[in-house]
Parts: sequence; C-alpha cells; structure tokens
Amino acid sequence: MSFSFLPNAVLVLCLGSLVQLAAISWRRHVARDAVLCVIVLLASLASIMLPTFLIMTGSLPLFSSDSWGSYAGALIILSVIAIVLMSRHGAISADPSVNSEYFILLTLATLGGVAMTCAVNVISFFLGLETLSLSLLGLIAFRNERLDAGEAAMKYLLLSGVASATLIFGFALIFAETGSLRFAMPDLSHLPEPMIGTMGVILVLTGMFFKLSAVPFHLWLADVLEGTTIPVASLVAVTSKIALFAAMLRYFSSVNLGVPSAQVNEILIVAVLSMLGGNLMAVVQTDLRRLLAGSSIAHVGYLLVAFLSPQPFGVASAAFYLAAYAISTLGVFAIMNGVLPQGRDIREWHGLFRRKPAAALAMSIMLISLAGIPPAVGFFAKFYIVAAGVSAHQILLLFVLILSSTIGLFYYLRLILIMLTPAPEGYVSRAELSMPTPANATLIAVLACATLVLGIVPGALVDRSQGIVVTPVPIPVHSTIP
Amino acid sequence: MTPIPAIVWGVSLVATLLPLVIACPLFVSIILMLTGGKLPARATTLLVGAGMGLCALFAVISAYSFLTGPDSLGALHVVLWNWMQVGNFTAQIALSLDRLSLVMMLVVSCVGFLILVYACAYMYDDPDIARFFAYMTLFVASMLLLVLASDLLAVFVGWEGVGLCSYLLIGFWYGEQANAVAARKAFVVTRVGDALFLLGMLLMATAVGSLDIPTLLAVGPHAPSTTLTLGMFLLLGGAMAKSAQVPLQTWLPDAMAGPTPVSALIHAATMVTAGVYLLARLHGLFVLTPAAMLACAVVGFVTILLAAGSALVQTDIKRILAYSTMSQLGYMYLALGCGAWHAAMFHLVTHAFFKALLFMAAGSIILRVHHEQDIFKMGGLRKDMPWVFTAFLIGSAALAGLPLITAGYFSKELILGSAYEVSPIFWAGALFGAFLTSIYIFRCVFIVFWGGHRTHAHGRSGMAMALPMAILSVLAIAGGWMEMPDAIANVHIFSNLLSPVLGALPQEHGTSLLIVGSLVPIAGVTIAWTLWRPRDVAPTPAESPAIATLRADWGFDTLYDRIFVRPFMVLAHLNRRDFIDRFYDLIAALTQGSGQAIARLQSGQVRRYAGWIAAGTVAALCLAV
Repeated sequence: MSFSFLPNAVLVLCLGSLVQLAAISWRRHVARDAVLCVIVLLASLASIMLPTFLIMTGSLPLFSSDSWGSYAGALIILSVIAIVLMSRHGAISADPSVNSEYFILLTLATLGGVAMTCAVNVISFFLGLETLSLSLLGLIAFRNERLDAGEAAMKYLLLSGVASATLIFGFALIFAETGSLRFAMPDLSHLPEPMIGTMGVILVLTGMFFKLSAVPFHLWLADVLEGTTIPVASLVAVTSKIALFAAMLRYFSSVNLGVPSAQVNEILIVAVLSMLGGNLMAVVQTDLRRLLAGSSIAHVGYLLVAFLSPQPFGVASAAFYLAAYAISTLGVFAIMNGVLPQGRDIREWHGLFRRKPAAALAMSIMLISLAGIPPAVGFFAKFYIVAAGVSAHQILLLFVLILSSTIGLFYYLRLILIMLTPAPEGYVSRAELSMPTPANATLIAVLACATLVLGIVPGALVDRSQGIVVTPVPIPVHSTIP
Repeated sequence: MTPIPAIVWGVSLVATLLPLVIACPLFVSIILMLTGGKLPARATTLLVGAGMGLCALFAVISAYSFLTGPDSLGALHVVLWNWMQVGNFTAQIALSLDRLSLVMMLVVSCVGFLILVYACAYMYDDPDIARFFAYMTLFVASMLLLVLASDLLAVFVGWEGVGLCSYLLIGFWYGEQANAVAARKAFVVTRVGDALFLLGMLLMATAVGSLDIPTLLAVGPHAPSTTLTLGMFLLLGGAMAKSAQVPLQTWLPDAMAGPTPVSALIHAATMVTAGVYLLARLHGLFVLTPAAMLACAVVGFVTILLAAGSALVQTDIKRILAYSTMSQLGYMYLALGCGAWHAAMFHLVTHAFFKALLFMAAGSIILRVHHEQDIFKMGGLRKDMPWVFTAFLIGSAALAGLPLITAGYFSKELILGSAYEVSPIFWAGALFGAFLTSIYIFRCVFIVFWGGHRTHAHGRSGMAMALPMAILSVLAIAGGWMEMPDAIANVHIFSNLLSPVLGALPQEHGTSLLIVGSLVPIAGVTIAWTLWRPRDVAPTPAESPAIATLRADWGFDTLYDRIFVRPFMVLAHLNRRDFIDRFYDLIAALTQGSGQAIARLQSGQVRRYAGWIAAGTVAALCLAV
C-alpha cells in the first residue's frame, strides 16, 4: 500500500484557476481579476502551512510533501504575488480585451511551478513543467502588438520544445532500463546496461539545464528577457528557476553527489561555465535586461555549487540563496518597472540618485545584494554557499566562484556609479521617469527592507533554511504499475 | 565552565533596556544623517539632548536593577540575534552586562551625555552641527557596543566604528588641510593596531573555535601557550594603538585638530581607554601570558615618562592635555601589566572625569579668547573667568594627584602600590612621572591664569557648558572617595563592585609609600610655582634644540617620517605608472574580450541556439563514454 499526497497548494491553485476562468467567461473586469489572482495565490500560500488534507491511498505516488517542497512552493507563490503587484494594465497589453487572461496564466504558471517542487513521479514533474512552460509562452507573447514579443515567444517555443523532447527521451531511456517512473536518479551501478542509464540521465540534465539557462544551454534567456515585459521577464528569471532548481535537487537527492561520476562531472563543468559565462556576458552588456540575463545565469552557477555540496549543508545554503536571489532580482525588476520602464540602455540610468533618490537607493541595495556585499542578504547567501563548498572541498568551484564574483562586482557597482554620475555629454535620454503605482512602490519598499533586514538579522531565515530536508523519493512497494 | 544563562530580549527590565542604551544614540545618528543637515540647530541639539539623556537614563536604570537583581554577581547575557552560524562556529549579536561592563557603560553614557550637552553649546553656531552630532552619537553607539558586546566579533564592529568616528571628527573641519592630514594620520596609525587586533582575534578564533568572550575565557587557557601568548601580544598591539601608547602614540597630539568636545569624549574619556577595558575584560587569559603582561607594563612605563616629558615643553594647551592623556593611559597599562586590574579600571574612571573636565575647561577658554590655543599668549584669565578657572584648577589638581582631596590621588596611589609590588623600578618611574605631571599641568595653570593680561577674553560660558563642568568638577574630587587605602579610610566601594569579575583586591602596602606619593605632587606644584610664578616680564617658552626635539614627541614623528613615510612616498613615486595595475589592466582586457566573444554567440538565430544545445549534450555524452 502506498500513499500519494495531493499537495494543498496544487489543489487550491487548480480550483483557483477554474474560478478565475469562470469569472472571465461571465464578464471581463481586469481589476477584479487581478484581485482574484492575488486571493488565489494567498490562499494557496496559506494552504502550504496546513497539513495535507487529500491523501489518496493505493495509487501511484505522484506528489510528496516535505519541507523542501513547501519552502520552494512558498517562494514561488510569493514571487508570483510580487509579479502581480508589479503588473500594470497598460504594460500588459494595449488591447484591454485580453488583459484578464494574463492573470489566469500567472496562476497556471504558479500551479506548474508548485507541482514541480513536490513531484515524485516523472509524469507529474513533466506535467508541471509543461504547465509552467506553456503558461510562460503565453505570457511572453502576451504583448501582441510588439514584434519582438512574438519573436521571443517563438524562440522560446522552439527551443523549449527541443529541450522538452530531450528530457522526455532521457526519461524514456531510464524507464527502458529500470522500468520505473520514479522521479529520482537511478542507481546506475545496478542496471543491466549502465551506459543507457547514464545517457538517459545526461539527456535529462540537458533538459533541466535548458530551463535553468545554464551555460551552454542559456542562449535563449537574454533574447526572451529583452523581448517580453518586465513582470514576465522576472517570472522567467526567478519563478521558473526556483521551480526547476527545486525539482532538480529532489531528482538528485537519492545519490551522493560527492562521488565523481559522469553526471557529477557534467554538472561541475556546467557550474563553472555558467559562473564565468554569465558574468562575462553581463560585463559587456549595455542593455540592462541582457545584463540581468547574464547575472541570472551566473547565479544559477552559484546555486549549482550549493547543489554539488552534500546534504544537508548544501540544501540549507541553496534554500537561503534562492530566497536571497529571488528578493534581490525581483527588487531590481520592480524598480525598473516602476521608475524607468523604458530604461533599457544603462545610460538611461545616469543621475538617478539626483532625480529619484529613494528609488536609486533601493536599486543600490538590490545590486549590492546581488554582488554579495554586506550588509545586504546576498552577502550571507554567498557566504553560506562558500561555506557549503568549503565543507565539501570543492576547491575548483570555489576558485571559479570567487573569480567570477569579482567580475560580477564590476557590472553591479558600475550600475551604482552610473546612477551617481550625470549623463555623458551628448547623450539624449529617451526614457521617461515614471511614478510607480502604489502597489509597485510598496513592493519595492518591502523588498528593499527585506534585503537589508535579512542581511543584518539573517538568523530567522537561516534557522528556517537549516530545518529543510529533502525526503528521498519513495520506492513504490508494488511496482507492477510503473 | 558554568554556562551563563542566556535570556532573550524583552523578558526582564534590564534585558529590555540594555539594547535601548545602544539604540538611542544610534537612532539619533541615523535621523541626523538622513535629514542631511536640514534640521535647524535648535532641533538638532534638542534631539541629541533627548537621545543621549534617554541613553544615560536607561544605562542608570539597567545598572541599578542589575545590581539589585539576582544575577548581580554574575553576568546577564542578552541574545539579540544569531548573526552567523557556520558549522560549529557561531557568532551572536549578544550583549552581556556584568559589573565590569556596567562600570564602562555608565562612564560612556553618563560622561558622554555631559560632554554632548556641553558640545550643544560649543558647536551651536557651526553650520555643520548636524553632521557633527551625527558622528558624535554614532561614536557613542559604537563605543557602547564595544563595551557591552559579549562576542569579540561584535566588539570589533564597535572597535572599527569608534575608529571611523574618530577619523571623521578629527577631520571635522576638513576645510583646513592640516586637519585632514591629522585625521588621516590617526586613521593610518590606529589601523596598524586594528590589523593586529584582527589578527589576534582570528588566531583566538582558530585556537578556541569561538569568539564569545565567556567561552574564550573558559576554553582559552587550554590552548597551546605559544598560541595564547602570540594572540595576547596581537590584541595588546591593537589596544596600544587605540590608546596611543609608545611606539604607536604619534597620532594623538595631532588628533587635537578636532573640535574640543571631540577631544574630551573620544581622545580622553572613552575611545582611548577601550584597549584598557578590553584587556581587563580578557584578564583571565592575559594573566596566563607573563611575557605579554611584562611588555604591557614596560610600554606603559615608557609612555608615562616620554609623554610627561613632552607635555612639559608644549605651548599649545590642547597638546599639553593630549600628552597628559597619553601619560595617564600609560599608568593604566602599567597597572594592567602589573596585574592590578582594579587599579587600571579605577584610574580609567577617575581619568574620564578629570580629563573630560580639563578639556571642557580648555574648550571654554579657547572659545572665549578667539580660538587662541598658545598658553604663552594667554595670561591673567583667573579674574576674567573665575568659574572656568575653578574647574580647570580642580581638574589640574586631580591630574596632579594632590593628596586626599582629589580623585586622581587615590587612583594613582593604587597603581603606584601595585607597581611597587612587581618592581621598585616601575614604582620609581611612575612616581617620577607623577612628579612631572604636577609640574607640567601647574605650569599651564600658572601661565594661563596668573600674571598680566596678554589677550582679551569676551563673552560668558552658558549654562549648557557650565553645568556639565560643575558636575564633573564634583566628580573629579569626590569620585576618588569611593576607593581609599586602609591607612586613610576603610572605603572600598569600587573594588568591592568589581571583585566578582576581577578578583579580590591585593593586599595593601605600608603608609610609607603613601606618604612619598603624597609629597611628590606637592613638590611638583612648588617647583612649578618657583619657575612660572607671575613676574614682571611675560613668560616665554624655553628654546633649545633638545627642547625642540622633546616638543616634537622625542623625534618619533621625524623617525617615522624617515623610515616609513618617505620610503613609501619614494616607492609610490617610482611606481607612478603602477606596474601592478598594468597586470590588472591585462585581466580587465581579457575579461572584456572574452565577454565580447561570449556575447557574439548571442546571434539571435534560433538554429545556432539549438546547435549549442545539441553540442552541449553531445559533449556531455562523449564525456560519459
């Protein structure tokens, strides 16, 4: 007899999206739909805290509930709430008749992400992943009047299709070898044909790295961030990465990553490439969104360092880092969205300290946090990753981490410098300063405070993250049904 | 080790008030910084007065309720939050109140309050008053953190904070280049000490595995003795630089470039004594390293004599007080080196009273004679400002240690007695230092206040300046009566207060030492009177090459200039093109180049992107086969 849990959040989000759909088909009202979306998200957040109330017995285990899943799920939901607060009607679409769907897609993306964080079966993981990807696709293409939105969506669709196919093929190979759809890396040494199993895992990794945008599977990210609206860009850069990283950690929780193997070597190389590649890419960018794409790739590399450090230190540091990264990145996007929505070129940000001191201060706090300088939360986040790496003797990774962080310092601090100095002679600014909406302004203030407070008093989050464990994916007792 | 019961913020009155003692000045500082000088001077002074008043009030209340509470013999450990935790190493932001930190907390908050009230009047017309008080209150907050923190890492935060504020305040009037240079000098010299302190701290952390002071004291003795000795030497080095002890003393006289309340608060009463407090705090480890203790005593001994000698020939009233501070700190280090923790702490307290008083009085004089600081251009001020004269006289008497009636007498006698116990040489030197002290300070008194008028005094010192001086005058006299030798009266309030932390007071010596110690200051005053009593001709400073050397701090400045500053400048000059930087330029170019190469991959063509995905997968597969 095995048990399968249907996590509360998944249930609430399913029902919530149905309610939203019903509301739209009755009558369109954008403000109402936005509020409805926030209510659904808050309800799902609350439901994470409650014990699971739907347990199915005797069926195929699809989901499990553990502290890691709850933590990542809560982070995902919180980040989507932040994104809803960022979204302005005008920015979503020029055509008001389709604005309401935007919020359903956000709910569905959340549903996909949350499902991924607690999936213990390949099928449920894949369903979650595709729910998230397809909602993202819709969101990226949402601003239908702009050409580059369509282009970004098309690129994402094609490449995501390639990656999903690779992923499925990898799962198929593993299934062929093990006969199990358990969402956990198989013990390759006990397989009749270890080579096939290894290839399967490598293909799975390709699919996952693509969604995480790790080097060299990262090329789509900059184009997509550039082509879409700022809230959706932050959804791509933050929410989908949390979801995938959470699932990836669960997938590999059954094996010891301290022992070298083909997979571990690949992850190691990808981590090195991501840290260096992401930062090097960001150094030369003059487009703020492409710069943030590079930064986001580099942060995935840092997370992989935590990933390669053994449990439970690695899990705790990864959990802390995910939160710090989410807060600071969302903060940067929120400020972009609220203050300088057209500020694509970094030269547009010249003299912001004079024109909008509070926003410039908040932006500096976020950048300092991303660069990993005290007293912002990013310092402790990076500190814990380094500590985890030291305890796992990952000398090479630490060396690259420090080297690439130094490169990273350059472009984060350059942005602060730009905000402090007046625009160069002859540069004609095209972007206009805008007044953030009350919701957006509140969001910026909350995120800035969180960055500072968690950096000075990290104890609360540290205690929270140190209690997190990833329970190994259960082995079904009767494996007649895969 | 008996674990100290840790309590969380808010469960008792002391635990609630203790963090507020630090928070009050900190908030005032933050408000002043955020308003950026837009507050009017009146609002600024009111804010500062209120904040510091609350700080002192909370300090007094928590001290009272601690001493009457159940833990009064032990320590109260208030954990605010867990700062970081890596493996077995934990650093907490926690405050600990025991009888030692209680004394320091009271000195810092109460004397600090008085000096800031004085400063409100002193700085009222300065256009940058908000900046001044933002730094001053930040200083008080940092100093209180240094005193109360129970973890060396948090102590270090306070340690660096006071250093920073000292730098900012010495160079407060940065319009004049000399002030900025003095500030930089203070910063660089104390930085040498800070580096030593940091090294010592890291060494202790590695040896003991914790920086929590109670743990350090409990586990530290089991560390290898060489490690312990090295660690204590490094910490001693850090303390010495902060306290301007030979050979890291050159910054203190120049630090007088700051406004006078700064000199009173930072360079007399509190920051410069931080090292003394820290060593007393760690006395359990210090006592295990006789070599470090001997070094400490020798350093104090040398500083007493060198600084007193320099003070004898200074012409600037503030520089006289600066050298005297150095010399008095030398007494505290001598006491620490002799293991007389009580004596060092007692002298720290009385010195805070009378030296702050002297600086305040000097500041009042300077303000009223048009910012003249040369004592040979003053004279006959006794009649122009009788109250300031009284205050200065009381301070000088206490500094000279005139017997029975002054606080300085009792604390100095305690040190002399303990020095005699260790070595009669120390005793004799310290006694000679006391002799010089009474000569130089009464030289200053007779030249400034007696004789004919050589300057015009104007205005009056307001209530805000007079009241703190009056209170400190009382303390400079009566403060000594809380600890008297048995030969005079059996009063041991101060040592009884500190005994639970510092151990029992050692046995006292005969009355003969006491009599000699009492006669020496009187002899000094007499000699000063014969040399500088009012005559028909105005006094002039003595001039000779030897005296010039003495005046310039025994040539230390020139020496350091020759062996450190100039070679460094020559090196910097040779390296104008910065050949090391060329290397980094190369790295920067490499970074830019590879960045551009990576950006070129971003061609925008989907087929290329898909190609990279395939290439990555194939490469991984090849790696696995």
